[in-house]
Amino acid sequence: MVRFEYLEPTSLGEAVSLVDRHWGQVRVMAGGTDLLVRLKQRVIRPQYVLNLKRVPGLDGLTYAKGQGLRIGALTTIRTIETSPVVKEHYPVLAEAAGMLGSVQVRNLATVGGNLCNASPSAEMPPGLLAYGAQARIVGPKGERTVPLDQFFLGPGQTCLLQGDLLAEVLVPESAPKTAGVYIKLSPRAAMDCAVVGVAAVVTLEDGKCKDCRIALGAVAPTPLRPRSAEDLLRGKPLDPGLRERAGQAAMEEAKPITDVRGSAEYRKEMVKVLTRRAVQQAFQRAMAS
Amino acid sequence: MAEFVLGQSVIKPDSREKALGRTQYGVDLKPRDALVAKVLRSPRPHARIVRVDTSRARQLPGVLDVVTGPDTLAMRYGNWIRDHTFMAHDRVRYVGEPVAAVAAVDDETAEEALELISVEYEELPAVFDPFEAMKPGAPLVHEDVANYACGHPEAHRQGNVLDRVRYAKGDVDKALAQADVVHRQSYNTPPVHAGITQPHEAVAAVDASGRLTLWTAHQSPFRLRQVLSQTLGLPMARVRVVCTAVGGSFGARATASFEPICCLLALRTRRPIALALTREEELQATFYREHAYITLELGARRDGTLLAVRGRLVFDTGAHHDLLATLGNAVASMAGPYRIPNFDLEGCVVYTNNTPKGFVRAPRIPSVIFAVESHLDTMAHKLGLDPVEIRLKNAVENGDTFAEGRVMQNVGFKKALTTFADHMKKQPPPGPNQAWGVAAGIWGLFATTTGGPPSAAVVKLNEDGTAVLLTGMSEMGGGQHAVMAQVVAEVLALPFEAVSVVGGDTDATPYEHGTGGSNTTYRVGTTVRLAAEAARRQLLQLAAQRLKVKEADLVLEQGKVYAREAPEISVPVATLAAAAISSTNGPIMGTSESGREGLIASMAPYIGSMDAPVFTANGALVEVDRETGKVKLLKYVTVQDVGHALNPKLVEAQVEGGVVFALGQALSEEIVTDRGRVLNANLLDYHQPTAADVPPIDMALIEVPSKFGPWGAKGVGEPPTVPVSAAIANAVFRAVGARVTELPLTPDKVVQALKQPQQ
Repeated sequence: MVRFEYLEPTSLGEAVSLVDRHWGQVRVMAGGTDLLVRLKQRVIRPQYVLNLKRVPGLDGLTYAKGQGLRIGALTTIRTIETSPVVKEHYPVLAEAAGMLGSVQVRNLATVGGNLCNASPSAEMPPGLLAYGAQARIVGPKGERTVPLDQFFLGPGQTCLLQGDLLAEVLVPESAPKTAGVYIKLSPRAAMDCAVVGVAAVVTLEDGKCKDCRIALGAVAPTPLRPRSAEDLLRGKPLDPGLRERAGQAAMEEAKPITDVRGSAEYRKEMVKVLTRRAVQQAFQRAMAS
Repeated sequence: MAEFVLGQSVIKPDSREKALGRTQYGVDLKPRDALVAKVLRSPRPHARIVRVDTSRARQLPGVLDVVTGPDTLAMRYGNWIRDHTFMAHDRVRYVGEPVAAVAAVDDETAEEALELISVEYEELPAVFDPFEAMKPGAPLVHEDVANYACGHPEAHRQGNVLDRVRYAKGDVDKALAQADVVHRQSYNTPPVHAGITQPHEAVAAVDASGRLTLWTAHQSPFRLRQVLSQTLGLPMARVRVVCTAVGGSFGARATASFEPICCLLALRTRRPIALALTREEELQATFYREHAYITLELGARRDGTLLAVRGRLVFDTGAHHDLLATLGNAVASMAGPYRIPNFDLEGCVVYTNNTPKGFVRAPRIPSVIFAVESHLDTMAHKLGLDPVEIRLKNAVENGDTFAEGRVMQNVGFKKALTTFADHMKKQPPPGPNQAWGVAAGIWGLFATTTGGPPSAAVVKLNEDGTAVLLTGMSEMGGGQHAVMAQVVAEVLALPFEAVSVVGGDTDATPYEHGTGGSNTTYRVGTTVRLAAEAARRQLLQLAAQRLKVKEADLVLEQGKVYAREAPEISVPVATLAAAAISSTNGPIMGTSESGREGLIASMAPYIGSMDAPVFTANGALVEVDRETGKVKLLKYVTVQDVGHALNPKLVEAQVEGGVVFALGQALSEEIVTDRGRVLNANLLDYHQPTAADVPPIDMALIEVPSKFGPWGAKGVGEPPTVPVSAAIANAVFRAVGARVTELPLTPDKVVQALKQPQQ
């Protein structure tokens, strides 16, 4: 582990001003499951580590009918996985949370950390993107809300500016007849990173797709919304031919790389297969809802 | 002798502590004043070391010592050939080779110190592909390999080729020309790590008199002591190796690598040194399984009779080689456990600038059998024959000769196959995209040789009639000591709890070659039995004198000796043991040496034969997702000949563990490198299976006794791993027609194979 100065602010204001002051030399710690590993490997060498755990109000879930779900940045993945409210209203998030790491990791890892780490293969972004989530960001000049699909800029890069902290994720209320799914392809049954991850959320009306959001993980520098696939589906009955074409469209938008977890070619092909499957499963669940 | 403790699944004494998390491993045992050691490793695959500057590291507060190559004796060592030093001198040959080491007060200081060492390298041409390495003009990994000391002077050493073996018989070309079907295919299996849970770690300390003690988990404390003695220039009397709790070994702890560094720093600083490798170091720089490339050409008659096989095999051993002689075994195994009248089998071991290679559970054989059994499965498919039927038709039997010349005895292959077939009849039919794959295995490494086993043991009877066994063998976690205690208890008619074991300590115990080759119970068990029998003879001799009954008429049972015809004439064992102390012969203490001559004489007719070949028959049920290529293992069936299960639960645990070990290598484990650098040197991307990946495992043990093993026992630990990759690959082939010829069977390879025209 590298040597660093440890900061433990006790209010959001103090945290923001410390991050602002030490910008470029500070790493913000939430659950620490990614950060500590990289500190130990000496991959990152921050002068300061700022732990958010004593900042009140960043933790926990609140759901209000008609308004949606607010997820504090420090809410653990395990909380998302096991929350009855999440399971009832946003089951895709609970599903995805349950596929992240091990129970031990999920007990520490947070939603905020998972998003701010901005790993292309991260587990939480696809589901949140598919539900149309927004990020509430607090910074030196006040706060702002950013749609999550503008949050990620590249591997490890987010839209957070000097002094900014992610405070909360806001997930809007779903329309009636909405359902979704997260499909993760990985070598092991657990404790693995996605080779490809696909989330789809579909809203039906009169048997047709009223709205639909698809999000892909691990196939581009950031989690990706294949808009052309969504556009194909919107307003149409979700028949097998259309689902196949949506898969094709998603595949064409994916820009995967070849790495130790899979080849670009295989990943592209799997985007097609898994998008088709995700849309089909979301459709079936929405029909049954 | 009626079985008394044998055949009982006694609980090994360390289980409870381990389950409770109380066992102390490795650096848990370091004394308070210990320093921490860390190793600086080469980032280059092949380079000349121009200059090493350690001055800044030495000046860092908290650093007590820094060593580099010139601080060490340039003494090469190795199990098979002495081709490596424990620290690079003028040249590095692989990414991860130790270049310097520091001793400091804590981890952080040691890590900082490593960063302050500057090394200037002059890059040399490197070679990473063994086929390139064999070409004329390829960069030489070792320029003077022909002059390295090698235990095998006959080894064919030329250029980067370290050894080459060929076995041939009959006329392969003619037989292939006459065959109804000939099938030719190449296979390859990547490097894999033994996957030990506990990384390599050790604590070294030097006492006031200058004697060095090393505490570490090791399969062969005596061979390790030899390396320490050679590389540090110390007489063995000044070096002691004590084996501590072992968190998995599987061959990874049969080699000496980082231990001399730990000892050198202890000798120089006169402070205890704790050195633990990180997981990255484990996967980048320890000795593990070679990349194997195998090509087979097999000819058969329409009825399935195998006529001829031609096999070519190349092992990429990386920059160093630390296996014992197993090339012949691997080459011969290209004929599988089958009678094939014509064969031409050749294999070689080649140096490259990849990471060095050594032992992993069943060295080399799972790779070879993956090829052989995949190949035979395709052949059976082409001929429209049942996979068990084609194996039964060609199966070896007693008296058949293994391709390298040994005659096989006590062969249980047909019995394993028929037991397996019976087991399979009970299975429900597979569903859509599901199928069973079948594969068999052979593990026949050890021959009966002249001179007897490189083992000794002592059994001491305490004055209260309990016993202590001294063996140089380490407890590897598989219950090896428990089984040895059972052997002693059986011979001396003692309860299991009355026998304690002192093991794996080079000062406290007699010489032992080490655990490995699945011959702990088989070989060490026989040695321990000899020692226990010697103690028993002494006990009965004393009883005969006291009871005035001939030895032959005495019975030892339930803690006493009595006359067979008059049980009231008896004496407790405790009384005899106490009386022995001041008797003419002295305290009862049996040594294996006293029975050795008789053992060797009894084995003489079998010299050069394979006494305990182990055969397995396995089945894997998979479901394959045709679109994603994902293979789901639903069920596994394994049948193994174990000779005689001395402790059935421990045998079952070994077999089950072996299957799990191997299924990772079948489905997901692979060391991925780029110019010798490991790209997945972490357990997130090096995919060992989790509990969720392991299917239900059905097991049937059969017992065809060996002659040499105690009560007929055969080796158990390695054979279960041998056929697993092939069984799974064959199941994938049967389920969806995809023949994957390269491990692991990752989804992308299955998808690729599905696009190939069906064979």
